[in-house]
Amino acid sequence: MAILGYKGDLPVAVSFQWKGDIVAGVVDASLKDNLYVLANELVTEFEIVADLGSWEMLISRKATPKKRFFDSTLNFYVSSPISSDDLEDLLDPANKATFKVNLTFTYRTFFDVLLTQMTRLDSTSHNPANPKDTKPILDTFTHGRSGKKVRITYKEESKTLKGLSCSLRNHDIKAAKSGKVPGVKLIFQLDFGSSPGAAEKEAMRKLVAMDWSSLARRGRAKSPDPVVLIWQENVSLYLINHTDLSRGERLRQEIQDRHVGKTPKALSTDLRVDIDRHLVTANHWGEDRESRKSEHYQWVLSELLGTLHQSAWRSSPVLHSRTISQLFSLTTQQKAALALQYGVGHCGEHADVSFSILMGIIDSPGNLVSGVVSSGNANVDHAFVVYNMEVNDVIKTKATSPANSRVKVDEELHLFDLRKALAAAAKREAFVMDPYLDASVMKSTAKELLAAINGPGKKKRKKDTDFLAYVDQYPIPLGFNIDDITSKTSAERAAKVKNV
Amino acid sequence: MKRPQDTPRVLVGDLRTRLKHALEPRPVPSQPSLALPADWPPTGTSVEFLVYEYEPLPTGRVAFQVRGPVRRIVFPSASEAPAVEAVASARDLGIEQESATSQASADWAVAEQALLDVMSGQRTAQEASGELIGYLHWLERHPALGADLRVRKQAFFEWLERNRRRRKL
Repeated sequence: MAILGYKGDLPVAVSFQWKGDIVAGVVDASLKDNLYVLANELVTEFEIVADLGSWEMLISRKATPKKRFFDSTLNFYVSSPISSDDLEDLLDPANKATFKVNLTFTYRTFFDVLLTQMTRLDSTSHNPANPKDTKPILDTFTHGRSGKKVRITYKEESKTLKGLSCSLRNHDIKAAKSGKVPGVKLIFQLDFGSSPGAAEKEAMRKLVAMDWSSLARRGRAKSPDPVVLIWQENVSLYLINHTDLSRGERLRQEIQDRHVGKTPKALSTDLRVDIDRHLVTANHWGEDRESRKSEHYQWVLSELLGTLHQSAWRSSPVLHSRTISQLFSLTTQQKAALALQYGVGHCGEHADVSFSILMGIIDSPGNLVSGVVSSGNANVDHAFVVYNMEVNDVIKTKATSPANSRVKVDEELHLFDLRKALAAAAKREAFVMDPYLDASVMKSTAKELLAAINGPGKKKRKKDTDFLAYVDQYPIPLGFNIDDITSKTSAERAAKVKNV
Repeated sequence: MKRPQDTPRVLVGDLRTRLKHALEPRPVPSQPSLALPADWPPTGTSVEFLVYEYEPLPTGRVAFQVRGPVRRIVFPSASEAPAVEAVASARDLGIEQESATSQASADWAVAEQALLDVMSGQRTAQEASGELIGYLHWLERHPALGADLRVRKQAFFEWLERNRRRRKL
């Protein structure tokens, strides 16, 4: 028989999709029925066995380095040629064909282990920054350094799913020009079952690890290929449906409970160390963060995550945690819980955890902390928290300094004058909570911070200023006000707020 | 605008639920606007939402590149199904970052309910003007998409600003 008048052998474009499972305690279950799309050339071969009752037919594909058998426009796999007779029978609903698939794919084991660690459901307090055993994670890659250049070599594994049930969900046949082969598309849905067991869950997780592996190769920030966005959505979807936010909240509460009633000075070391132990910095930055000597595991993991941040942002776990935070409008406390569940963050995530925990300490019996401010450098892309102080006067302005690396000129930001705020605090000593930076470089008091942001290096780069960024505060003091100077001229704003 | 006798009150929670279904959620960060009047002063009951994309940036602090609007969801009335359309002219609007969460988001929900009351004829715009100021607070929280909305819904936001200035006097 013929397919739209064409008789003979023809390849078909094949796509797979699958529905995953969901765990309890997710922040939002609205995406539980979303489908994952399989569009990854790390699926090196597959064989779909169609059972038509009295006979079987095969739809197969085996890629080689020279023959990809993948349509990059459609993001579909391309099968070996099938006879039009067989295809006609396959598509005849009267034949009620059933399907099973054998599918082989490769993935980087690091991402499988990372997914396992990030989606922990157990009652321990471990997370990727503070695992029970570092060896299973460190065994998935080798780390090397050549000067400032970091080299990560990932270990890979292959997996074959055998005899997996699937169904033909949709098909499409497009006529071609005279004499040409019609375009046939088949869309299959893999069936892992409505109550998948351990083997099925592992298979689904490894398919997502495969996509994450590809994101690590091709997930650059700008102008990604459309297939990269499919992988990114798959990874985000898996994390959304498998992250128990209540577990992250437990980790957050446990840290908070350990430090209730402590003096502000004691918190500057004790709380800082505790938060640092539960979070790995996931971006490369100029300042020292994890200690190579005293935090070797975290240092190595930070080096790996830093390479993802720099060359393949879409593969950074922080992109996915920020996706979830924004998509579901998480509160500061929820963002902190998410960061602790995942164990990774940039300075922003570290600041969210610090701010949230200090808010909780302030609200607890025996509290000795007057207030906490979510802050950061006014002219550098860095976030941290200052505490045991209050900010009454905030300026809303637009940046005027071309040297500002936090925001561009004319972008809005809220600021406060640290010098004035410290003067108003009189005898009360204010501190900095910045677990992102290594303890050796962090200024633990606000007074030291004020000196640092006016230091010789800052002066040389015309970044010396008394101002810090203002993000949030708890509690809000009675005399709090915002002076909006955004409508003033650039010269007026620059005069009022120096070097920002 | 006349106050119809039997027009049912549209609750913002119900409308937001219908919006959620209309958006066909994907794991892609986005931000719908607050409910917006189709025109101002309102000549009918239609409200719409504009949806913007928020792409996480690889910055140290938490920040997003705002782009859009990418979709428009129009509710002609409380009972009719919404129309969802892609917006062709989506563009980069700037960067937004974490800002003070202590500005109560409760007043945004109050502002939205006030607008729905006006659109369904439960109250006049002047009666609801105090609560509608919450829209300006929401714009201040979202400066990048706020600038876009001030242009798209110029009459509405200029009316709100005039009312805010009158209240300060």
